[in-house]
Amino acid sequence: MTGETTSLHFSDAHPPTQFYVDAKFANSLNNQQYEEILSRLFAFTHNPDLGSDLGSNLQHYCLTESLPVSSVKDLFKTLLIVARGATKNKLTGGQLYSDLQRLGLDAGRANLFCQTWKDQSEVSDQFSKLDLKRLVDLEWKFGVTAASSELHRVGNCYIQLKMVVTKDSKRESVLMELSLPQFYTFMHEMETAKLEMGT
Amino acid sequence: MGSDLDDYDGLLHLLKAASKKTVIEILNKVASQLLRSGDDDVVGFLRSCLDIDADESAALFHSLTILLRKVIYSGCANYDAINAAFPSEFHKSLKELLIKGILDNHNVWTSQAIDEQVSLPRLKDFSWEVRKNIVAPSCVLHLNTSDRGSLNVEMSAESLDTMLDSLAKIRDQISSVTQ
Repeated sequence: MTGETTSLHFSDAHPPTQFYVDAKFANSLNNQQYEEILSRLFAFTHNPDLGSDLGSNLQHYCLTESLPVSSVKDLFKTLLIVARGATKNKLTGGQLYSDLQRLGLDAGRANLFCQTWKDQSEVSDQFSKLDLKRLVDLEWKFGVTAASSELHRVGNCYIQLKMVVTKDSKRESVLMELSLPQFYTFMHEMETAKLEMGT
Repeated sequence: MGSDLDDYDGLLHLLKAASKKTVIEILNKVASQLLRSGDDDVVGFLRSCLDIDADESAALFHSLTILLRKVIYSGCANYDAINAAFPSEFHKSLKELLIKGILDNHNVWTSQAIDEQVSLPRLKDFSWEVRKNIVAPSCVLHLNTSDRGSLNVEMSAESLDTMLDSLAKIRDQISSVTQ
């Protein structure tokens, strides 16, 4: 396996020996551990903002599972490079699978990686199509209108929201005002959404 | 407190209306124009409706504007308050008709005034969906605001939780104020 002269699909460069070591390590994990690492990997590719806590979270996970931290982190790095390479070079599932096999990853492991990567790519595509922005912050102000140029005495409530959203590292603020009934409806709907998310 | 009779002179053209219903219709049309600053040619409407000339319809529009601004602004919601807006010598039966029209539509006009008041871009409507991605579910919020139109915002479960915490705080604030 080491010393292969034909390059792989996900990268033009010859993969370092470390990659083969990492693949072997991946094979040694149990199913649940491997799935957990994949889950965190693709959560990170989907939402890079998670990066700041990534190191400590992985460390914590390793401690609870009695896994060697440096091996897990190396594996994570490698899989990240492979995933990104696959996306960048627009690989098919088959090509990625073949690459992983040649790195020495077990068939079942390779299959799960490809499946997850593929699903995640579809999600990212939907993102770009829909022009989805990610919510990073929410500020608010609640007020009561005392008077206006039209009405001497008003007394109705309003809620102002500022949603800070980001896309491709560009931040912007979205301002909006809600009436009281609108606010209650909005809150109710968001509570329903939370229930549906099952968290 | 009575008002300058001159300001209300224009109102007398309403006496040329074919019916009481027409007078009320005119009241509403002018109120709408006032509150929503639409492009409608209300003065033109007055001309054709009452068969009066340009000067007369301008005078009527002027008087109606003064009357309506006054009663809407000061929140006149009862007979006496509205009555006080008219000069004491004003045409009695026309005044009664106008008072009735104002009483009947007062709430609607106040709501319209509130709707149109100075504000940030309004949230017009929204919808949401939960996407059970392979990795982590996310909530996509489709917003429609008055200035930006359609906007799609994605939230992770954590973001949604944080948002709900904020919304709960707002709700508590509202409760404490609107006892």
